[in-house]
Amino acid sequence: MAEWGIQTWDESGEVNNFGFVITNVMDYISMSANTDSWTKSYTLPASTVLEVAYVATENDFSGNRKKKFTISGGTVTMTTVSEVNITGYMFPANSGYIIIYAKGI
Amino acid sequence: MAKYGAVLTYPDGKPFYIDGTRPLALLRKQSFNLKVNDSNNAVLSLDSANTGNLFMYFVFFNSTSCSGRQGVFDGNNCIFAYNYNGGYVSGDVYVFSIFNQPTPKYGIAVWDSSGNSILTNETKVLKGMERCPPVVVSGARYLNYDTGIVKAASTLSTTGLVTYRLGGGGGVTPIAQEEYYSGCARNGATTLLYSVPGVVAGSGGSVVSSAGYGFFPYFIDASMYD
Repeated sequence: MAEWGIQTWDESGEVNNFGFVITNVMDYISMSANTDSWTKSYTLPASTVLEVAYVATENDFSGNRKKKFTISGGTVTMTTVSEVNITGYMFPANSGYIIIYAKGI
Repeated sequence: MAKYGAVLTYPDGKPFYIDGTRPLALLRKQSFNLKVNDSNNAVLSLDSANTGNLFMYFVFFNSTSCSGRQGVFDGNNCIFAYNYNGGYVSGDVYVFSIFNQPTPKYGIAVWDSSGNSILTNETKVLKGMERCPPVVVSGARYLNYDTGIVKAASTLSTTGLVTYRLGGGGGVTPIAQEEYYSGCARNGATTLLYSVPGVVAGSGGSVVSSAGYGFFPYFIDASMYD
């Protein structure tokens, strides 16, 4: 039995509720390796914070170029930096998708 | 927040579902076993790259000699997979995307304002995604992280490049390069995230440079989706 919320069962009586958890994609954007800066604001749902994931779709960056994302409230900003060491939301500057999602706090 | 209806919340008030958002969900799990070519790589073609749809690939390899990167080939998103020992490269890929959900015979479903079923109790939503903690990067071999998970699967990318000066006297000294890629495979009881060369080319040579690109993959507990 679920501790809270809802539970569902299949015809054999087996629990089959997998879907109702917090995985809330606010937006996703295709971004090329040459995009040097970018920003966008979102209306942040209550009790959530924004997080960013980055999926490379190509291997087309050069040197130490990195895409660095910073989050302030509902605003996500990307700048291009030249760094060797990685901190926070920093990714090799390949072409790819940015995924912006709300995470419960 | 919806204007009317019911809201499911956790005890602290966090909503189960936020109006206007879409979940990333498992589109399919696909096992692969591909013979590598003379360059020790194989192309695993997955989904069209021309639709604008988001695809997130998490890969589990069957051997720590295997690695790969995501790319596009012949208009399709694909995995360029490597095995520096040659032979075959095998494993499982878990494909996540945002797509309309089949409505279960009974249970619970959420529709958007256009009538699309976007979330049901049977939707295999992406959950528990973590990122390999970034560390100080020194060379192409920097990625070596024990997930502590029996079967994890991770995103893939190029991780670095090593340049060698090969032996031999006189004339121009030959140079060899090894590109490194990330991988995710069982190492003992748990799954290791690592970076290894796709092809071994610099045997016997001396390292001239070893550059790390600073890629740190995302990973999930893949056993939830088996």
